[in-house]
Amino acid sequence: MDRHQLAELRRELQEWLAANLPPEWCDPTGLGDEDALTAVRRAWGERLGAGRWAAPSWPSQWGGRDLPPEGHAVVLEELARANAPDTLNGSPITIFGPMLLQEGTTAQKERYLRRMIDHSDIWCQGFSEPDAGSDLASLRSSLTPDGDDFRVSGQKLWTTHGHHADLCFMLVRSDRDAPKHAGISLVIVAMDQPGVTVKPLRNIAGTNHFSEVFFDEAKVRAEDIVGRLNDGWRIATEALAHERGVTFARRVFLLGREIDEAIELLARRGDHPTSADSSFAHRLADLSLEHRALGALVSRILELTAAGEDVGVLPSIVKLRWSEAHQRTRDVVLELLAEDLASPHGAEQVRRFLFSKAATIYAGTSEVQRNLIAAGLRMPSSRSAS
Amino acid sequence: MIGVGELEEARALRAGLHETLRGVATQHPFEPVLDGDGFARSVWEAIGSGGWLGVAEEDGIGAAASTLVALAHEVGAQVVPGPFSATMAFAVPLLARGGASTVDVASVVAGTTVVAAAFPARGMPHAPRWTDLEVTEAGRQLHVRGRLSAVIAACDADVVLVPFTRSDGATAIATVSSTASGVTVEPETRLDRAKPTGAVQLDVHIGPDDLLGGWDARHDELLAHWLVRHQLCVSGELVGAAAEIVARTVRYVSERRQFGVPVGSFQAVKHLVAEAHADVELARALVEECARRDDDPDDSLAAADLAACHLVCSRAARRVLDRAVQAHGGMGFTWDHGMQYWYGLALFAEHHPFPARVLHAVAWDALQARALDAAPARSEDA
Repeated sequence: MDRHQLAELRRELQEWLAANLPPEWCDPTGLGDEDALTAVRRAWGERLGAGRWAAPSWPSQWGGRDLPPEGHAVVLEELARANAPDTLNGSPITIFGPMLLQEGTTAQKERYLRRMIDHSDIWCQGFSEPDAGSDLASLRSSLTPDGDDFRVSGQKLWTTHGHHADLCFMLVRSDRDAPKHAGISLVIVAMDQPGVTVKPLRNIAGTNHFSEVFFDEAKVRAEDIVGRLNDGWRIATEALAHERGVTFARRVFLLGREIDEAIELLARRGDHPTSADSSFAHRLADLSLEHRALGALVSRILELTAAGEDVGVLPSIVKLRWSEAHQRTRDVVLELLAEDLASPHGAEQVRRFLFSKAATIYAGTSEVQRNLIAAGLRMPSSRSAS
Repeated sequence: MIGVGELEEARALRAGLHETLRGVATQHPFEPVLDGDGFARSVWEAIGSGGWLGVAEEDGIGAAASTLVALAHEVGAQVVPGPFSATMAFAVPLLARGGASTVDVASVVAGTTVVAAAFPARGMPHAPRWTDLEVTEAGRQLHVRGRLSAVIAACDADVVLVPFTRSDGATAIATVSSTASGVTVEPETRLDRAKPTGAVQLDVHIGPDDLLGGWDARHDELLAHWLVRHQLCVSGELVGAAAEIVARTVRYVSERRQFGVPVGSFQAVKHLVAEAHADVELARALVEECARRDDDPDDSLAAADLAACHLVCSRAARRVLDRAVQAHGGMGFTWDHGMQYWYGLALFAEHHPFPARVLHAVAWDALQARALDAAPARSEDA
């Protein structure tokens, strides 16, 4: 897209946001409890889907806008600028949608894609297990044949919005005799059936964002295998590699907003600046420098993606450094609020601070990202160390 | 959005410079020069004969900022002795575009005439205060007195290029022969072994012929444009240096064995190097983005953009070097391993021509203004 097309896209979305995003949806402090927040995220997901803004890079045939990466980035930037809330299906649309677009059958696309975008179905992700976190390929949830269909048994952990979900896309072991990465399949499982038990998992921020999900001989229809049987690892990793740049583009845009809010907070502290204020200013300026560099790297990833070039370890660098900058920003905000931490606004900031602790853990811990970067540099294998 | 192809073209040109430098010397190409005076005419002329000092003027159009920055990457990686960026991205374009001059541009491009350019004594990239020189006008003669500090290659130069502020507030550019009466040059303590600096004491009378473009020429815009490009090149040198250090560190920790295995197989070392690589890629992305924006006629780099870019690049270089020394263990602490050359480059470039603390203040002021400017919109959101 050229500059004028991008400007037109930006203008169209800004107008749409002005007409469709109620201000009260942007501030979780005013929403009260977690159920209200979930309701907003569902409602916002429905609106974004209806406006065809939820998955702008998807083909228009499935509810998208056929936008190239640079157009998608404009949408993410404007949503961040408007402080739009998350949607319930945001992560499934980003992570599972591309897998289904690339590997799914026409029947699967027709059945699932539009309903994912408009939030008719809420999805959750079943990847991590108690003994398969960073070492995801060690997963043990098993898929076994049952007539023409299959049964799945096992336990999944850190399942975002699991207790609200209608459907789950999950990685399961379908061949116990195959090498570790070769015997894994990607399947779709209905959550509302006998054999599926969801237990909300309370996190350190006090919310039930995640669940643990138990599968006991739950049914998987033969037509709900995505791609070929035992090919799930490749599908998941290829699609994830393709989408990682865009996934973190949004978070990098949001980081800019977080830093701006902290600067505003610093400016409002009163008429008696202290030496601590210059320390805050210095930290925020440093965070802003990191944010600028992250923004440039995200643009680079989007360019490479658009050109069909390999992005290598660049997404890992973005994930690693964004997550740490995000946590440092939340640290500054908390310190700036100081005596106001007990107010409703302060309590929300404490919640965000605690929730930010997840950023260096999910989607590959910081340690995993550093390992990936080192592998990209072709450093010697750890297996040669005793 | 820029084409990946443009970037590839710039990188191809960089590979050409790499080959030229390889032809000049082997091993660490410039070690004898860096451990000596920091400048060698033979090396400089060899670089000049490749046409590299004139790429900003090639075909009368000149290479894009992206290309100049890509070449600067190579200069930083190799720690090329001499005022490469100051010549390629500042002195030559000014001489070529500033109007009539007594200096033969072709000989500067060829490396046979060495130019030492004076950069601003104070101010910022977009609001430089060019010199603290005292300038008095008498008829069509200027009496220029004062001292210029930290002038790269001052002791080796044939000509000193002196931008200065006229009585009407506009900026002109004088070219002064380093052997002219009233010009004395003293070497300064060398921080970057590849860029020895000197203090130039001036007490000279300058006529119209010594001013680029003649008596009435004013060069504020030309200077501002090339000051920005030169600053981008210095940032590029820092990124090139940092990337080279990461590559050298990966090689070293892959070969060096302890406990029967390469030290690079230990996760603690891997993570150290991974962080260094992250610093390089973030800085590289930012300086390349800024260079492309500078090339874009519909875009413009603000002072804060340039300040942020330089701060990110100089910090990346420092952090990479610190980690590299640690990853090299005792060897990293030896002169033989050569880290001091890149440290010198990084420590000098961090504050030249503008001190990092000034750039930090520029970045913070702009950040604060933008955040507070957007605050009413955020309040309405909430």
